[in-house]
Amino acid sequence: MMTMKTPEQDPADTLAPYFAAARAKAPAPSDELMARVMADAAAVQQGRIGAGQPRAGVLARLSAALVPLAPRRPLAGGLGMAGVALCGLWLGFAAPGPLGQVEALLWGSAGPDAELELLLAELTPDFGDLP
Amino acid sequence: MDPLTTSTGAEPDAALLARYARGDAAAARLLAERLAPMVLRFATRMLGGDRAEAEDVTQEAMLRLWRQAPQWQADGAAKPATWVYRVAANLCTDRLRRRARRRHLPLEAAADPPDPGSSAAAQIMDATRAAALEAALASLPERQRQAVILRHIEGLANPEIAQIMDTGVEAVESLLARGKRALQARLAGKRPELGYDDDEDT
Repeated sequence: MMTMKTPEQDPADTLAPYFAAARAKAPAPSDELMARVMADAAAVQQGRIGAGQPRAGVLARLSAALVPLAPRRPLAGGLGMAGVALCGLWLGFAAPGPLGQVEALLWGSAGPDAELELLLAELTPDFGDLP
Repeated sequence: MDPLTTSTGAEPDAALLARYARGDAAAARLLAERLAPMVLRFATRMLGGDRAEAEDVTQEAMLRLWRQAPQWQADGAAKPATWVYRVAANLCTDRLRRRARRRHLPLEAAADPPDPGSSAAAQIMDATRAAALEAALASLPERQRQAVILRHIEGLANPEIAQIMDTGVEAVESLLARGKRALQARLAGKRPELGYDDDEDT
């Protein structure tokens, strides 16, 4: 006997096999990723990356984007000379932001990255082509 | 079982984070083994299967957790898993917005249907369905995608999703309903090629 299926059918029923297939295809972290995560943990613990200083992550990424030869990983690698110079330039021009930006940065919101991209777009015309 | 309590009876994530803040390296490993896979799965799905970007998000979300550890004991408000999910969600949003400004992603990324005669056909069909879902998810608005992934793939409860997404439970329910309707519409045309045609007529 034919099963009648109406448009009002609960979407979750028909989607269940897709969700099951997606769960079965779950990616697992590589050893290399876990090593990077643990290296960061050790660096923060040993004070090589400051605890409670999320701004450093943005500066490190700024440096990585501006200095093609600088190592992109680990995230908090040393700043290159060009990165340092441009960061200084940026800090010199940037007006003090509201305290809310600090909280937004801590949570990883779009704000600081958008600010960073605007800066990069101004300083490096081909920023959009960077890997 | 609460999916954010990664192993029943084990030391809570917050206790491990406190141990890490006191200098216990072993606690960091345990916490990383619990949380990094979860963040990687979520980020991979949010970013349309881009493994390299998802790994960067995972590393950065975990780094922010390590940095947050000394303050965690005083706060005691959220679970580390919820916190790190939320950070990862925001990092994914940043990347998706950046990506959208650079180029338009193809949304029809589902693989070709497999040959149903092969002995490995069922396995391939599952992979094809997963790819079709991934492509359909990529077409959803970000907030709907987040809610659907967290609820239906990661298995979180709506109140936890509400915390992660910084919204109310009712809003999560609405996002889920709209997201699932959109997915169903998106996948409806692919049912025959994904091996569901037999179900329709029996």
